[in-house]
Amino acid sequence: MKSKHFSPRSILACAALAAACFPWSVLAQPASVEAKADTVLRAMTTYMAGLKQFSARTENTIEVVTYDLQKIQFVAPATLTVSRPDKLMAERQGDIAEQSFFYDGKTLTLYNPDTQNYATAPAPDTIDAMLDFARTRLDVIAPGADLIDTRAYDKLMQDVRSGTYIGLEAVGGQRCHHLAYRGVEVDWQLWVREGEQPLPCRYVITSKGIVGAPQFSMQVIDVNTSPVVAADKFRFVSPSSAKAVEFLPPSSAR
Amino acid sequence: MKISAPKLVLASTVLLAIAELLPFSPICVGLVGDAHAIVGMPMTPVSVAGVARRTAYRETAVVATAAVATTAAVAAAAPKPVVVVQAPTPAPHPATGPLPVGMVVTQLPAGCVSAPVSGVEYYLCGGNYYRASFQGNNLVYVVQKP
Repeated sequence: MKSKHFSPRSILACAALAAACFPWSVLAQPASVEAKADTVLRAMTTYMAGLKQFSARTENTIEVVTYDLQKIQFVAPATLTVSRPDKLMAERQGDIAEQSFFYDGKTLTLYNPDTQNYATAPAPDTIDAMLDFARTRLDVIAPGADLIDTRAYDKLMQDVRSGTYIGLEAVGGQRCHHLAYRGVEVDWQLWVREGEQPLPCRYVITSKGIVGAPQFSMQVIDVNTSPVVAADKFRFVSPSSAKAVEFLPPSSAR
Repeated sequence: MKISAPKLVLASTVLLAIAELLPFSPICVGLVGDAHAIVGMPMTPVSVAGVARRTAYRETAVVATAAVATTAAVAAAAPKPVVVVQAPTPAPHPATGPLPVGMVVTQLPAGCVSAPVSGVEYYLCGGNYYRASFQGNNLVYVVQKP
């Protein structure tokens, strides 16, 4: 049938259009990143990827913009425990968003203690693959996931147009290098601890395509690079009163 | 007349491209979809037009982008620097009367009772059965026919 036939010309036209119109391809010129900024970013991502086990406490804020353009900021403390290559546990506290996330190398579980609901899904066998899976297949995003992926450098640099080294600042009692990167849809800033342990101090993402340019931010309160972690930390054990529910597929989530 | 598949692909590519070329345009608000789901805060006491992303990675927003392609085309034809986003009319949420199966709500209506059916937990509210589910990080309730 004719309508199902793709002529080489139309395919070429499509490809050309796609290449010409998508900013991340049309702007696929070398990103102008200052050498000092790149050195700091590489140091942090390499150091983080090399940490076999760590735990962190953070304070996360997320902004929303109302229909009459008022900006509201929600704050939630979070904790994160990572054991590479295949275990992660994250918790968000606070009245509005209490939630736990478990990943034990085989399955991931999201648990809402207030409603006593949890959902479990089979998951890929590494943290990196699991984060991709959770984000793209379940719409589930773990706080701070950008920085713990062992491919964090490549992923952060994906759409970067420029990167600037701003300077040294005191963040949460640490001296931290301040980096400011610009992307296509988001700009992001990262503060990295000065010295032998280039850990993240703070991370801010600005969604500049959205009215009011709301931001997500993660302030790192402390990081333990040699935590004592109980063996069952990453396995969700359902309280007897908790009820299992399912994840909706992302197609119906949007 | 039937539109051929290549034409459709072309048309949607152009529309997608227009949407993507306007990174600062307010039309991107439409991409947010159900912002409540992204916030992961079911009790969010405000009507949300836009919400910050929680990852610097590019999201897989293909479905959402295609859905607003028409809006994007309209916006591109008549670009405006500032658009005050109008709050949508609240979706009808009657306490009684049959609701379409698959309808998603972020909160149960008043007067629900727990109604397990063959071991599956449902909430019965005004003659409609709801089942809790996770939509991303957010707990929602989906109208079901047990």
